[in-house]
Amino acid sequence: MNTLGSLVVDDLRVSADVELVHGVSLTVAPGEAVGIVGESGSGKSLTLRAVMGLLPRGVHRSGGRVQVDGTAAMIFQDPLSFLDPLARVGRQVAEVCAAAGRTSPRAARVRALELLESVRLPDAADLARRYPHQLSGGQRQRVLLALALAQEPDLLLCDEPTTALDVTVQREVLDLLAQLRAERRLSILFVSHDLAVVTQVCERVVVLRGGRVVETGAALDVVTSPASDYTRSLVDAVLPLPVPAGGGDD
Amino acid sequence: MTEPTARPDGYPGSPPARPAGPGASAGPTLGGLEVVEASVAFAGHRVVDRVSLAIRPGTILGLVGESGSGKTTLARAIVGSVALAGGSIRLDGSDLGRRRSSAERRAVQLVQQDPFASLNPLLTVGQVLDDLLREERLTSATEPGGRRPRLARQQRAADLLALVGLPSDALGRYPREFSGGQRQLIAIARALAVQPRVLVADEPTSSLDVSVQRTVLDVIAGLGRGMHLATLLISHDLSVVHAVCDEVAVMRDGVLLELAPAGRFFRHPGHPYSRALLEAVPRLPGR
Ligand SMILES: Nc1ncnc2c1ncn2[C@@H]1O[C@H](COP(=O)(O)OP(=O)(O)OP(=O)(O)O)[C@@H](O)[C@H]1O
Ligand SMILES: [Mg+2]
Repeated sequence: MNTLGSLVVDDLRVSADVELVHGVSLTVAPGEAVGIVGESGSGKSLTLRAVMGLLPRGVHRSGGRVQVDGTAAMIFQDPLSFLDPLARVGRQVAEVCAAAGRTSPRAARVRALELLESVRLPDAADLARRYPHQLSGGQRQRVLLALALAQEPDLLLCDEPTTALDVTVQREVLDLLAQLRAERRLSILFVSHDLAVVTQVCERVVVLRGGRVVETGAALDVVTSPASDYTRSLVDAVLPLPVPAGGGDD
Repeated sequence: MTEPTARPDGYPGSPPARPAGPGASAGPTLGGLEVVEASVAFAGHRVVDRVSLAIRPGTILGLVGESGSGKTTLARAIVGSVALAGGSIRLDGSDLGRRRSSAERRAVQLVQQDPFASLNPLLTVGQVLDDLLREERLTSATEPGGRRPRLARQQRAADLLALVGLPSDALGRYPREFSGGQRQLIAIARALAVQPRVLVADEPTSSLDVSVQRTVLDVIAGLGRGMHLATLLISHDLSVVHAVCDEVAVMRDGVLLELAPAGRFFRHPGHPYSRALLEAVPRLPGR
């Protein structure tokens, strides 16, 4: 059986001066999307970064096992700190394409433009020539997604990948991820504070609190009938929004 | 902690009387912030195109719309960090040019998405606030043009933290010692330290978790209303806008498509794009 894109995290421990992640275990099957939810400081981002082997300075993996089958790429929460402020964004994407595909610079430029279009950036050719600070927050977030896809990953780690997007563009980007899963069996580990988005994207969800797994299960079950009080409090914290009155304008 | 703000349905009643603050000047208009036919261009391309809106003191306008539509650029024009290619920005009826006096700059404060980027990591919270309070010329009748003595500044700094719901021992700590949500509260305290009239919050909660988002929003909404600020809240989170805003403005491609009282906007969006936005909001099953 092809296991490309699978992930096993077993009893992961991450520490700074004190232990921050206390034995988290989770799995992602090839082509599966798994969500991680939990409040600030629950260890969501640290878990993702530990999988990538990119923990912040002063923080290290202090125990457990991480096994990725294939290539993993990550979309970080803060685009600015992962883009080179002095290079045009198109060139940054092309460089990653060239490294990943070992292609000619010219082919890499073409591929970069394709990727920038695929992440729903309007006027991609124009935006490609700009520097990161000349883009809006949501445009930078999509460049980051293009950078991750340029690595041709088997597993995509997403840390709040759509927070800077309006909901219509968000929907398009989530559709793109769904398409990549269908076409390429891309596996996804998806951190988000938005439970509705997680339920849309993921089959399974892991709820973290204080660096521990408090609940895990089918995404729909977890949000509709949470097993723990903590998960219930997360669901209850979702702000209500009325549905606009049906059809036509008045 | 501040009172959780109830969602005012539709338009609020008559605005409360506003206290005189720095930068206040009597004008013939309603008071508050007015953006009149404002345009901003980058390299000859208009990214904000003749946008007009007004925010009365004590009310909150939510600005939503397409990513890249010019919301942040409009915010920057309002705080004076980018120049207008046309139109004007007015505070209480008087024009705020590009070259603003220090009182005018203090009057319009920006809270950004990433509070870490906007806080100097080398200064304690107390030092940040003290520097601001030290610059401030007192406008009170008893000490016109005077400065606050040290002890009074310390007291005021502690009061500001209390306003946003942080303990006064936060004064001696550095930005890195706080969570994202707390840092955002600190950024708000800093914005309020200079007694602004206008508060512009550009996606102030989009990098925070739901649990903390609430607190930060309650603080912005509660203090914005309580201190009679004209508040502009930019967000992609429509449920957030629904929870705290009196009016909603929608932008796409640099243009303002719709401006409506929140109650009406969420029930009967006036523009097809507004409706498309509301219908694209991901919802929990069964809600
Ligand atoms: N310094 C700049 N030079 C050239 N173009 C810029 C510059 N800054 C922003 N832009 C462009 O201006 C347009 C408006 O950007 P702005 O940041 O105001 O959008 P926004 O509505 O805040 O988007 P988002 O919701 O993604 O934050 C975008 O197309 C952006 O690429
Ligand atoms: Mg913006």
